[in-house]
Amino acid sequence: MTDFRKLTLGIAASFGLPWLLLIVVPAFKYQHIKPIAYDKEADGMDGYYPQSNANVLGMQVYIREGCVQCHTQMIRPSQFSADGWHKGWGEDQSARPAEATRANTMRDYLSEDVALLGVSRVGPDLANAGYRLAAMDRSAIHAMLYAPHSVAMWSNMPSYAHLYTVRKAQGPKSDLALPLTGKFAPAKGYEVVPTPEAEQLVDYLLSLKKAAPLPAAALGNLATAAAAK
Amino acid sequence: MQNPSPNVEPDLQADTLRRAAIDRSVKGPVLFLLTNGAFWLMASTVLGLLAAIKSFAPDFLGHASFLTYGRLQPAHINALVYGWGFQAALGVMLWLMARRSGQELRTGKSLMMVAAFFWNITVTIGIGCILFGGNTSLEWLEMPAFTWPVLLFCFMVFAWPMVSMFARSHRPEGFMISSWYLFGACLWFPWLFSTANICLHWLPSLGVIGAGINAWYVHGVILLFFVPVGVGAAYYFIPKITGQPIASAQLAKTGFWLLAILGGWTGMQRFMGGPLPAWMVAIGAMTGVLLLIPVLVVGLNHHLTTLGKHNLVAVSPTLRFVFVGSIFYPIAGIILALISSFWTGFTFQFTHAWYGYQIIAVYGFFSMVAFGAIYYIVPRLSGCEWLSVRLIRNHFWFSVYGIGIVVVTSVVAGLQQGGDLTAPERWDQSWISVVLNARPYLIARAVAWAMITWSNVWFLLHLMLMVAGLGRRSSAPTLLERHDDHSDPHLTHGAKA
Amino acid sequence: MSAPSYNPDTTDIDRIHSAVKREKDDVAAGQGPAPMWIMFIGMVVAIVAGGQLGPMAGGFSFETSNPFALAKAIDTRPGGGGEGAAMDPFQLAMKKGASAYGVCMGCHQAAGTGVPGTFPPLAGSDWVHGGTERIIRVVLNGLAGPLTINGAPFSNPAGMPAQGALSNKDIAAVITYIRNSWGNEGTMVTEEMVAAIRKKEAARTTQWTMAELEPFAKQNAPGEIPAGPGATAAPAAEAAAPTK
Repeated sequence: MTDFRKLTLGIAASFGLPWLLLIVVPAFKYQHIKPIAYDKEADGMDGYYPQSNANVLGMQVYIREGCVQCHTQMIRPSQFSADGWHKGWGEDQSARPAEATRANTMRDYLSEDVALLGVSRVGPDLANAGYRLAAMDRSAIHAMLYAPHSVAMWSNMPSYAHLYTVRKAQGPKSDLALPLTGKFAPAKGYEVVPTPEAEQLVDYLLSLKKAAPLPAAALGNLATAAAAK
Repeated sequence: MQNPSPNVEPDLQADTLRRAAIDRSVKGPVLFLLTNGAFWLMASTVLGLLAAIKSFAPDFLGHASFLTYGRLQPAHINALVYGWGFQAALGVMLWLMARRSGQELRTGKSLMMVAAFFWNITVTIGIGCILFGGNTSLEWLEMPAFTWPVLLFCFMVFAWPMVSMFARSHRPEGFMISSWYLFGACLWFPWLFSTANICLHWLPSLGVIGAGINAWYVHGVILLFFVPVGVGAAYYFIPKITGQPIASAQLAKTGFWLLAILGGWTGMQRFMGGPLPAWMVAIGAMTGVLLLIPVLVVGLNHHLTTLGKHNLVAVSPTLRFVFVGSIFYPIAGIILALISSFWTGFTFQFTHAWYGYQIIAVYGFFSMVAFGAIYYIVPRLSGCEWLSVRLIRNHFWFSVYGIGIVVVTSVVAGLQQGGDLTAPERWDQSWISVVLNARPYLIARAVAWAMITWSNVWFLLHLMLMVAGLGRRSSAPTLLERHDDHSDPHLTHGAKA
Repeated sequence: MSAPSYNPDTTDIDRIHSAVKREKDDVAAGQGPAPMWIMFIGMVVAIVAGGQLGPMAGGFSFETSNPFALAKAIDTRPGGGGEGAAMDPFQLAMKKGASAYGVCMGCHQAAGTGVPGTFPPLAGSDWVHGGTERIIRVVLNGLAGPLTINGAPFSNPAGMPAQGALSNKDIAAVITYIRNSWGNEGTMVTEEMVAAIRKKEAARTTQWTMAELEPFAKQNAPGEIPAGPGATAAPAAEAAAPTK
């Protein structure tokens, strides 16, 4: 005969323990996580870590469009992956970075309500897309969002045409018009301009910079262990 | 169910009438849930097909905002999980719990119908919001924040009577492992759901901890809702159809408690190597691998129970579906161990293998068992038998092939992608190779979903005919092969019913 | 009997309840002990799983997400990577040359033995040891016609094809490699030397012949050789360990 009370208590205890230790306690501890100041002597620089915050309005567009399904924002340590060495995935944009892009830590995502770490990596990682896209013209970034195939024929990225307006060209070419050619260009006399959402999204992408150096104080128990050596 | 002595006919009659009364008492809510679930299954497989095509042919059907992969894929998963998965689970749970506790559902039937109605409305609005601009990008919680209190309330409307039935149940033959699993599911899901939603929608910013909670939630729903319902149902139907007792009560209890203890710890290893505190990830990885033990234990128990009766798999639709589900179960466990352990997990991380795991857990294991349960339950509620053996066979084979292809191609694509992303010699590989290497697997996935859509069309049709009372009027069950009475699994020997 | 139109609540108890009637008994589960071997398998799984904790748990600190944050990044990129700039140029050339040699291996064989009568050997060859001006020209533009190397005759209708399509860096690396492998000892050849000769012979479109290369047989290409093992013809056995 099943002892109902014992069964309920057993289930509550066995689930309650991980619930407490993995969810409740960390959620409370996270409320005390704050930016850390760089130590001029130990780190050689001023200011606070993290150095850049994600653009919040653009993040809403990113979330709404479901970009996380194909793009991650998480650099893994070089001990387990080649993430740090990929071209353009860190601050060093050269083809063969001398140093690996560092793995991301908790404070890199301080500005995000829920860290947009990503579901899968169908497309390149975007943790440091800000550095990569800074080399591009803003309208070229828009063109990439409007018609990814114009940048890479083999890309499976959807076209976010709904974030853009095709309107009749008023006089000379507008500053905002996207530089599209060939079959991607609009009909003659028309131009493609971004909507405010598209501008916010590009602002967000340009704000993605998670490669600021780690202050010694951010290393937690590793720092104390190192200091003790 | 008492074991009546062979000569007492009135006892037998009373027992049959009691079970029939139980069936009649849950008929309305269960059939309503199952029918709505079947419609959602159809919708989710069509969405899955569309999403799969869009993943390699993004220009297919144009550039409308609601047809982008980023919106279609969450819509597909949410429709599969909340539209089909939960409704099928609740329908099966309600019938099973009522039968197992030997009690009729006396009150609350209308409330259940209203709750089911609101569940469907809410999921419809939620999926619509995902497609048209309300996506929250939280895995398995992409529906907007206002949906969760409604869904939780509707779930409790079903769970509460089930829990009280279980509490009041009196089974002379002792514990029944199925009820334990279903009871557990009734407790675990509301706990998981409310925790995740409160943390992710109500609490102030949680950053990476939020992402960890999200991953914990997804694993929790799979391991502590869909798996218990599937395993509980399998533990009921396998002995029921083979006529043999569950091989070992000790294994059954061990399997249950191991799942209960381990299930809540795992999930955060999804972001291994990432910004989460390392110990949370490590514990998740450890328990992800440890979960192989309950999987093994349950698998062994089921295997020992069916020993000697494997011929019935060819005959009984229920046993056939449940059997296939029981085969997918250890495979799902192995895939979980592969994506969780640190040795292999980094290769599979952020690849298509994660999708393969979700599908094998929700569709390959849970849905197959649910189909088996539905093929058993619906004739008892509608008073008629399944119309066509051909439709059942069609449903079975196209589903099995389809799921098999989706899972295998996703895992192999994951291996390919993972190699491209982590292998040191490919560190400077241009992204075009990563994309082109995965392409054939995505095409195969689309073909597989087309097959599954095909099978679900016939299942939906068949189910609707049954629910409308248009099934075969007969006292003999619809079996998949012709057999003489001696080996008919649905005919009893002697007077025992 | 049943009413003409189907109604689940008719009194046809036999048919309606046939599905319920034919159900099998509920029997209690077997109470025997579980098989022992599953305990052992369980223990093995538990030990394997336990291996996930350990260094990866980061000392159970909330602040540590990467237990290896202080460790030097492991550079598994083939070809040296970040340390390449700091690596001795000779070692770098040997490494790169070893992989570039794959192009030559087809004819000159993996151990530089060549094929008697057809493809000249590179091991112990006086052409390889001799003036670098000659060997660089051979690699850049190819070699045709009858040859005598180490006193043995070689002839091959097509001759050696020109390898000018390779970059100067690769040509320099592969020549350095063959001059220091299989018992050979020689000074290294640099990218600048190859570039200078390529410029000088830019107009050449045909393969060299043995006679044409005679004047270069004893001349070394002018250019600075970085100090280190590459600057001497002495065996730099430790540095020349071929890596793949």
